[in-house]
Amino acid sequence: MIEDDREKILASIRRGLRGTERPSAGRSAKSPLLTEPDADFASRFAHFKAELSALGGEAATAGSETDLADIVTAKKTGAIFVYDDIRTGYGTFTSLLTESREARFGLEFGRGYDKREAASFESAVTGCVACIAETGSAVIKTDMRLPAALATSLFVVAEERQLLGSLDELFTDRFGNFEGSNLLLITGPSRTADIEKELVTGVHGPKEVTVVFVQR
Amino acid sequence: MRVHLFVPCFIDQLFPNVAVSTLKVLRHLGCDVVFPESQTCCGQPAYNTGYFDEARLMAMHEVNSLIGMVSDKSEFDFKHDYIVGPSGSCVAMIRNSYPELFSEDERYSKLSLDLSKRVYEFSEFIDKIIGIDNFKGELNTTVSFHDSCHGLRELGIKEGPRKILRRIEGLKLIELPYTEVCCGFGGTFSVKFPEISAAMADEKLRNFAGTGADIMVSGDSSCLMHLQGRARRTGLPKRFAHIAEIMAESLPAERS
Amino acid sequence: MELRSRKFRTLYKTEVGNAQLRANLSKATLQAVDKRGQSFAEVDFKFLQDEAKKIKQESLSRLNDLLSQFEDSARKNNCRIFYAQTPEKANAYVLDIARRYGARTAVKSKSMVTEEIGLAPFLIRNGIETVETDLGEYIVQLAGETPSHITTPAIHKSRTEISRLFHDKLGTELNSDPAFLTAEARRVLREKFLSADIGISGANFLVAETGDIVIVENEGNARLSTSAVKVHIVVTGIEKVIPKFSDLRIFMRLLGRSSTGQKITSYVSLLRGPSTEDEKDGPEEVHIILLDNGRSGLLGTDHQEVLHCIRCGACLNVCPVYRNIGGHAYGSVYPGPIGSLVTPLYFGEQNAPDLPFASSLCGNCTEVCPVGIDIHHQLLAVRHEIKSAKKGGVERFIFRNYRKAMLRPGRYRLAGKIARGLSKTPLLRYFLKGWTQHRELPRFPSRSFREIYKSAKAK
Repeated sequence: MIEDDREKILASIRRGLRGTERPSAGRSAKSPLLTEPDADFASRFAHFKAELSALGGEAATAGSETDLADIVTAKKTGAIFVYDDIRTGYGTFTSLLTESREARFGLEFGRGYDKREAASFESAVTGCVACIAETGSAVIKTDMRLPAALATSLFVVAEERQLLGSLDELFTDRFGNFEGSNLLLITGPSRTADIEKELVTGVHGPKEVTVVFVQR
Repeated sequence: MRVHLFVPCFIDQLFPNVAVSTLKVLRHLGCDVVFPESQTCCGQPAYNTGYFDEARLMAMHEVNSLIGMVSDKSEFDFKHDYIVGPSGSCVAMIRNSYPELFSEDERYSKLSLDLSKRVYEFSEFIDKIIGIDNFKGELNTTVSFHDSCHGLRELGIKEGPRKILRRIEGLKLIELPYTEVCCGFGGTFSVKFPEISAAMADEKLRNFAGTGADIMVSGDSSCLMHLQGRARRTGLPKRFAHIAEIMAESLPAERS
Repeated sequence: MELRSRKFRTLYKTEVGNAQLRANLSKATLQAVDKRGQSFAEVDFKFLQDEAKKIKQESLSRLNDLLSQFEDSARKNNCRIFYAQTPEKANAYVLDIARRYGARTAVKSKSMVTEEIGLAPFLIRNGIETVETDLGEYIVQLAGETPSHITTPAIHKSRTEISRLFHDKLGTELNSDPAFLTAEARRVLREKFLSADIGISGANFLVAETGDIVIVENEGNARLSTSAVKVHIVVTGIEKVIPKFSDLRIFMRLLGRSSTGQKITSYVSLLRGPSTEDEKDGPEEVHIILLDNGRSGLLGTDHQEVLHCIRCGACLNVCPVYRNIGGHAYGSVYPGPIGSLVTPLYFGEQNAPDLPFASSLCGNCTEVCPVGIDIHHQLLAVRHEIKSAKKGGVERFIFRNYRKAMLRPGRYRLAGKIARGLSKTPLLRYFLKGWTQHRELPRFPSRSFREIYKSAKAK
């Protein structure tokens, strides 16, 4: 094992800072947004949709699980991976889905599954922790990272109450104390502009991101 | 209103007409203008090249000169008088950098802080102290205004000179694309890295040529000297003029 | 990466004449500048900048405590922490982990710190295939080059050049459509992700309170590099730690806007360590390497604020010097205005004697800096230090005598007169050749303003 330089570095830091340390500074509670976040779901959703659409993503509302199934199956993608949070709460949806599409479920996979299998799904559908109107983002926390990361088409299912107005609401203790190894904010399709600043979507991750709010 | 005229060294030596025009316009606007003759250089070239000690000595001399403490009879009244100079860059040196340079010298620190409240760039002085409405001119021409970086970012001068130019009847102002991008002068930068400096000038001149304007007007003769020098070398037949010159030319007496 | 910043004077001269390079850079940087401007329309930039600066000031002034707090949080999340003073030590540690795991392939996402320590070439030399997975980095790696921009590594390359490169190295057809080229890279890199053993990333922020490793990106390659692997190694600088989770509300709004004009990047990963028992994939081990390499030396000095940098690249995009010479001319991993500070301050002023002077001090960098670094005044301060450390020299001699003349108005008048008299002779042109090689001298007037003023007054 290589011995690290912890003590040396911390000593150097203390030496440099000597006498200039300051106590924790206060924070302004103000939001940097020039307009107040929308209060009701309808205007929040309109905002969310505008943001996500501008990035090439899609946002929709579904009155029922049947509507949700219609939205998902309307995209002519191949095999779909269904995350467990969707399987358990959305019985009608999943059974409709399996009628029209080859679907695999999270529970079929165990720890240490073959990652090539995850790469075989063209699409994935997952629940989420929150969505943010300000930016058109979906915040997801999954027990399998790869299907969502590798799918060409990603569906995020959300409930109305999960739609936050702004990032100010996300970066609070409520979400900061999440359980699990990671939280991911996805804002529109995977993209790059590394070649002459020309925008190309679907680089390593989804080319299509669809967020559906289900009213139940 | 009494004004001590601050004439940066290179304007004094190379572009006297800019100073003459400044004087003319200020007098036309009713100012009582004196030129403290012992002033030389504000020290900016040394300062920006990293020679702070040399700069500090020059700054001391300049401070004393500008407030009439060296040889002139006209002593400066910090409550009522102003120092006005036709250069955003050199005024920024006095207003912003002198207090830094003198931070460890009690006497000069106070003096330079007092001074920084009374020193104005020419167009800024007309905009903020005299009032734009007091000026009116007439000149048939098409111009673009070049924002000097120090005027723009150190002094916050943006709309003032444009408002002034719009007070000149017959003058058409066409905005430069990327007007806030540096022209590449940068003091000793222009001779330390001449190829980069020239490439930056070319960028600016291309944008200027694209506007179709006849004259490039600015509040800083240093930018203009650089751009004009490059334009003449590359064969761009345009005029480069200080805003004070354009204003002086637009005055009624000047036209007759 | 080998530091070549001492050779700046030679390097920039070849780059400044490269018309293709200038065209590529102009197009890309000006587009980024425009987008950045538009993206700040709905938020209060000044407020965000002030808050970010305040948070960074606090982070550095409490760095000792915050690092300890971060360690505690990260250990609770089952991460392992390793402090490295030098690039060699950091590299050796990564290699040690890789060997322990018998790793053959490493996938790497974009990280300036790994560029700084030359990690990828080091691993490759030691037999571990290390693949850059950010498209721009991948292009640069294929070409055997180094990145020329902090956030857009292949900004210096045109689509035609990239198409030729892919054709030569990957055997793809000659098609310069960016969508085609990107799809080709996706195909090749996906296979790498699926076969990789370890993943290497940087970190944009480390949150002391929660132990979060925050990584922002657009392509999804960082997500895969940190997820599709058994071991995830984070290599980052000690200055990246911030106090609170809620501080992210400020930085997340600034970073994307400043670098590419996005309200937020497509992906933000908040990583908290190895996968938990309930999770079915993700890394089994997460190692966090905290690199010093000259950083702690800035604490408590006038240059401390340089450590605020969040590597957004906004100062590069607005910089007309950068735009005309490109990133490679700087001879350092860190180019542009911030690079002209970081390079001498981290790696020694003697190693970058010219970089702080390669700026017209226009201040556009300072204006756009999201964390409030007074970049151009910092450059000025480094200039002063470099000049103060060097005794003698022609330039000092000139400035000393210039000053002497300026303190005596009589001498000043005389000097001006002589210079104006000499203006028509070749002698002055010789002395001013830095000017006259590229520009005409102004037409020297016969009388100075003070002479005109004096004679008018006498009348």
